[in-house]
Amino acid sequence: MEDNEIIALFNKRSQSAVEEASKKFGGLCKKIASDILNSKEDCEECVNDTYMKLWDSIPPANPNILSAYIAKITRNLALTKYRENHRQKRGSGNTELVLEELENFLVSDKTVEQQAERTELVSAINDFLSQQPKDKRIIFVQRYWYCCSTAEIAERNGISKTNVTTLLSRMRTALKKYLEERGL
Amino acid sequence: MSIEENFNFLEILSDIDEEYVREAGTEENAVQPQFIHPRLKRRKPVFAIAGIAACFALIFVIGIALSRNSGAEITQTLPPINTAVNTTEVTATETAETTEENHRIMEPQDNTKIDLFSSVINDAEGKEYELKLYMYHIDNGDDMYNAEAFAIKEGMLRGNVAAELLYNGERVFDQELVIGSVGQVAKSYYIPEIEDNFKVLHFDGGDVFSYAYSDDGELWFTQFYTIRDGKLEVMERYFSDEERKQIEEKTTGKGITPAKAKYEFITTNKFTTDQNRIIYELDFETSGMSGHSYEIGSYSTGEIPLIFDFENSTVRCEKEEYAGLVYSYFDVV
Repeated sequence: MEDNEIIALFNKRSQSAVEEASKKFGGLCKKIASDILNSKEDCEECVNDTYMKLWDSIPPANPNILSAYIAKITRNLALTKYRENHRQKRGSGNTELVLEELENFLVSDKTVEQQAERTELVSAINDFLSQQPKDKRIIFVQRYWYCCSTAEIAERNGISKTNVTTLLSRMRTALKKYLEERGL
Repeated sequence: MSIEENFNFLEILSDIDEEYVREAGTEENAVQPQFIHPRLKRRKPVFAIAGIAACFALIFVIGIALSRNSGAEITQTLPPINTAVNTTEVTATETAETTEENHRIMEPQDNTKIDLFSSVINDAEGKEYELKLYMYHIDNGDDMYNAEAFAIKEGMLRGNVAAELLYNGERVFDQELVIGSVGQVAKSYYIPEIEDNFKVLHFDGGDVFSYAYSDDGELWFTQFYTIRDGKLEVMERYFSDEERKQIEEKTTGKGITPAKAKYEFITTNKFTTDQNRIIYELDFETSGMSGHSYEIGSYSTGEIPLIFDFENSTVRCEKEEYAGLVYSYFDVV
């Protein structure tokens, strides 16, 4: 089913809307949740919550890219769940590795909120990404947005894990410099 | 930078342009992985000659078949899996789009598994178990990632690996084996050398199961297991004093505390055993990567002796100078 047809089902408040969304994007949601969380139960809960949030948000929302919209909901829910879990115990999904890579990434010890308004920072990151070659941008987003493992990124993009690690390291450095130059 | 701030940064990334999210999450960008084992690469000329010969042979056979029965249906059969793999339990079927020789994607079905390895292994009390390894497929519900997650391609067998223990013929334990990168979807093994990856080693103190995953054909990620209370138990590796010192120097003030134990070793495929030691021979110089969640130091040729402590189910490196040779996992606080 086409994305606009699924959105139309949500707008009509049709019970099959969630079913169709689940058929088309269930795998994507599970993948994102499982890469961030390390528990089948948490993952299932996160995916179910995604559909609930989808139901609550469309309408009024009318997403341009439904896959990205759903993926973003799942990611945010999974990160929230991860944060809750992390307060109690150490997880072992990809998220910790991603967090470690981002260590010392920003300029100072100030919190992100103190350094820049969120929108300004997002805008700068978007500008940075727009200047990157598509293949590099894809790898960056696969790692830091989808929290994919480096091995998986290597396989999906036909390069070695070492190349992925090196490329990400260079991109982190370049992004850091880019943000520093803009006082962020 | 605290973990909370890094977390905030991750959350901020949620708001990047949706188009970038879409392009990274779709298959249109994904170059199909080439599972060409380094050893296969080295053998390319042989395969080229064999391929040319096979083409001539195929033309010859087809010619004869056509001349004898022009109306006969010529069917193409896939070659059997190499004898290194016991295929008696394979119920997988190939998909229609993959009919090339030595290249097929198996469709996951219930109870689909491929036996990889089988050996007798004793626990510390001398009880005899049978250890079996098999490859299977975990369906994570995502077609994009399931594609080719269970496959034979370019001489590689690919899938998830699990172990089971049998005692007096009855299964008493099973476990998915996880090695290599965290979150890795599946493992790839070069079919003729599959058995090189799994070994039961006999030491004075007991038996050890060595489970390896070769990333590049030279260096291997390895875990060691013993059997305790009827279960496979990882032999953990604790940091030596020197390693602890080095790691503390690297991590002080960074909001990171070193983990107590490491679970995977970087080894080579050349080794000897002696009493309760395994001695790996590294005959080339190499250096590892950094800037990741782990660091692999530079190291040169030599012997790397690991000593097994069966009472405590631990293993340690005898040479302090090889600190950093193995993965250094960190706990983030």
